Amino acid sequence: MDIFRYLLPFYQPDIDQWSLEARLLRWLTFLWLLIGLIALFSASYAVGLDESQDGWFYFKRQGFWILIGLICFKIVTELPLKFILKYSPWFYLLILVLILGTVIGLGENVNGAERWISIGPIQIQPSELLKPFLVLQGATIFGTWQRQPWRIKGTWLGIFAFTLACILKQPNLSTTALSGMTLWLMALAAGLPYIQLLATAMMGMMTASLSVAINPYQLKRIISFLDPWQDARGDGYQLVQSLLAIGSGGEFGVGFGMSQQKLFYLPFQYTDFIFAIFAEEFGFVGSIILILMVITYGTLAFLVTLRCTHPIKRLVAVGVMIILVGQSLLNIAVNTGSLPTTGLPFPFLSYGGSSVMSSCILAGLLIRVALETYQQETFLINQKIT
Amino acid sequence: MMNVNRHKIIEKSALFKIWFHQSHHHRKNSDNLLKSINSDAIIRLVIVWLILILSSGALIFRLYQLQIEQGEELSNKAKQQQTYNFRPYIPRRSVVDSRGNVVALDKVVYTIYVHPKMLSKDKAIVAEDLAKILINRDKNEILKLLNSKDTGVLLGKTITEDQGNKIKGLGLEGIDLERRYARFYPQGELLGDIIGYVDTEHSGQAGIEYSQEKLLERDLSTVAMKSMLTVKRDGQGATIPASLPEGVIQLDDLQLKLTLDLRIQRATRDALKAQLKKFNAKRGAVIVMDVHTGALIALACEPTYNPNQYSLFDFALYKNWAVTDSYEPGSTFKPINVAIALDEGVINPNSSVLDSPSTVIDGWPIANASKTGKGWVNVTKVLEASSNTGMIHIMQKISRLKYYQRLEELGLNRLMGLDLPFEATGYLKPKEIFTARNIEPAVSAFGQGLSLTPLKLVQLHAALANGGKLVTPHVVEGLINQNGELELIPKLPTKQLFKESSAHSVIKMMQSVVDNGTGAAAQIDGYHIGGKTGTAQKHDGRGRYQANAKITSFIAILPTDNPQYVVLAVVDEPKGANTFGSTVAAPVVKEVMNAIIRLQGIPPSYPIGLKKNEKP
Repeated sequence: MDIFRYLLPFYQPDIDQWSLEARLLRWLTFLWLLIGLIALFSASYAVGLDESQDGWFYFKRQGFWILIGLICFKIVTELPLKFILKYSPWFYLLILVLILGTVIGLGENVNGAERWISIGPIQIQPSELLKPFLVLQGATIFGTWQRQPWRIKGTWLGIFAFTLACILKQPNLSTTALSGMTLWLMALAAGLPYIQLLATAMMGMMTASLSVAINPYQLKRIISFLDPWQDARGDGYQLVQSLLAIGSGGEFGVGFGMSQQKLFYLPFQYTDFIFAIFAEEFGFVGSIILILMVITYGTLAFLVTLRCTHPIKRLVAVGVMIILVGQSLLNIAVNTGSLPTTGLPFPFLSYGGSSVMSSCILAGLLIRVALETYQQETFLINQKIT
Repeated sequence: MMNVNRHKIIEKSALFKIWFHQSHHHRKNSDNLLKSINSDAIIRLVIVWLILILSSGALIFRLYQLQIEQGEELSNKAKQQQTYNFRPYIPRRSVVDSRGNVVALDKVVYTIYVHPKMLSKDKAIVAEDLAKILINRDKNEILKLLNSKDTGVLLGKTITEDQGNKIKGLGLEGIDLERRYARFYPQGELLGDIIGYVDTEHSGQAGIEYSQEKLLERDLSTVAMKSMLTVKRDGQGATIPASLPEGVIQLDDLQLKLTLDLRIQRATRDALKAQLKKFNAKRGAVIVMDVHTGALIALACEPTYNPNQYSLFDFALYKNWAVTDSYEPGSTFKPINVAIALDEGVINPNSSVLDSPSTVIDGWPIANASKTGKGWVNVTKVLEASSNTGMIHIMQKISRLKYYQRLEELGLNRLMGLDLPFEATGYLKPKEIFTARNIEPAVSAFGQGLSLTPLKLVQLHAALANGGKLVTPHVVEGLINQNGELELIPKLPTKQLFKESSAHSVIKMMQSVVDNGTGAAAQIDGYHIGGKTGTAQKHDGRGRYQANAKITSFIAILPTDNPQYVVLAVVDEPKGANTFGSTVAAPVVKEVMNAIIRLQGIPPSYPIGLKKNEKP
């Protein structure tokens, strides 16, 4: 019977032994997922109806993936991090092989990029699934930076660089940038010398410029992002439609389900541009509440990192914070035209099984860190008392 | 199962212990070192956290810009692309004549596009199927069209509803049918110069389609109609049903009723057309008006155009020159002058006037058309003979200023307030010039030196016929509902222009013109008819009269014992030797009057056949 403890997403009989941060993060994850489902329902209804005569098409699939994601979330929160860290390199390498598969032509071409790979009937996006393991491996390497021999450090840095190169080759500039920035910020938090960090940052910038120089579509996007109205029907179309959606929201929004822009004006309205629809329906006030929720999540994660003394676990929490919060902010930046248009999902809001799974695992990792930090503290206190 | 789990838990706690010992051990050994690392680590963590916080702040500011500062502007732009004008889909009101015959209506037509690439059947078969339905099209021609492009082949813009439905019934893929309303004029060119036409946007461009847009367009100010005008559509161009107001189909059944009578209009146009052909004239116009109400019973200009195919005609034909062009009325204006003189009391119907062959005014010699004079005659004889000198002598009895004031009161240089568009005013010389010398009042006495539109002349003669009242000519009777009841009647002003007695006297004189004078060509057995001819030289626009160009006219009042109609015919530049008002215009008027008598059933004034015997 005990198996249910590990699999039932909302069943947590030992919750009273959890720290406040862990409990808050758990509920906030559920809230975030709920908001995501609500937003997705409205954003995807018309598309579903148009494509498959079923308005619930994307909602149902997203619901299924959230269920899978929550089971992963549950398993991760129940497993000791030590155990997870032991197996994470193998997962990392397995997913890297899948990414390599998309690069060498086994992937599915969607919108001019090979980011998906089919495993049986299920299409997955390996670069999304990599995120939690990237965080785990990054934490392992940077958390033990001083003690590791250069042989190990060099090997893993090489693997990271190779991973980023593969994702870039798909091509998927945004995920590459996000992954690179996450690793870099984790390294910063880990206490690596500033001079090394600066050098890496420069290298990253150079790689990015090179990528833009090689892929003309990226340069076009960057140019059109600076003044989308110049070519509102061509390169600037997507951003212009996104801005129109966000602007239409005004102060209080047009109301749930009432978005006009989702009716095939704004492309990718249920994936990468779901925030624009959310902002149209709930307005400035709704957008601020969403951002505040994300920020609260990030701040709770920050509190977890402050309390955690174990270097690897702390970096895991840092990594999760950067990916979940950072990716949300990057998505909003893209939607509002503050950054060039790239395809980056909004965690827990955008439609996509891989993204949901990956985000759920990341949230699970963060909560596990919070749990273990608390367990360690209470253990110490108990020891002192006895 | 239980065993496995228990085992797992044991394993878990064991792992935890090992891990804890390790890290505890590590802590103990490097307690001081850790503290320093910790403070550095906290700073670094705060940096990472701050990066996230600050970027959210920046994004909130960006959202403030987009949603609050530019919110309205962006929202308007979005609405622009999301909505579109639905107007072509609201049918215009129909127009009917005074007897309820439809003369303009909206019909459903289809614009059909074929996308040959998407056709599921062979092009040749499709072309054959289409040619079977579009009976006036050749299948080879259609096939050629289909082969011309891959997509967007325009098959036709005004395919009838019936044909469109049949094509829809074929169930072919790759055929786009766009339903809309098109204006149709069943009477063709019969009413072209009155009704006008609508352009492809369904907006009136001439005639009452232009001037009566407000009555013809269904009331667009109601809430339901307003929302109808801006219907929401999605990014794929489909209308969003929820944005349509309820009761879309509940349009009112009002129709615009005209005062025109199609039968009289047809007789009028036929008579005019035949006469223009006979005299090879440039153009002509006939107006029939009810003298009491100002209702126009017929109004025809020739040449004209067919509003169903307006684009094939010269745009100059779109205007109704009986309303838009003024001319010097000549002798047809003389009865008006006589009425003024009677009003002013300078003459009475029996006064004697000198009809000399010619006279000299301010050094200008002015002669009668006949170059003869009958000496001292009464006023009736002056009109009968259409004497210029006689008229001059009558009008000289009034002071120049008073005469000018009376001409101004006629409203020659003011608009009548017609319901037809592009109305022109006549021309009256400025007061200073008119009153400075005798020559001006003298030429005005026989209807030159001033100008008016043919319809204005009809209005003035109607005032003579109806006892002195100036009525407003109009073609629109009002809006009628399905039961034929008028729901909206335009308010038209009337004013007393002549004394009733003066008007009656002039009508009697005009009857005499037809009975005994220049208007004999308009006599109809059994009816007392008043009339006046006019043959005026045309102005070349620079103050000189053209030698060969004249404008002939005849105006009649039917019947004089109980005046009901004024009929005016104007024929511009008739060619030939014997071209006068009495020979060119009067026969047209007579034919029109015959039609009116027959169609309106006007009872004879005296037993038919009696008058001729009475005549000496």
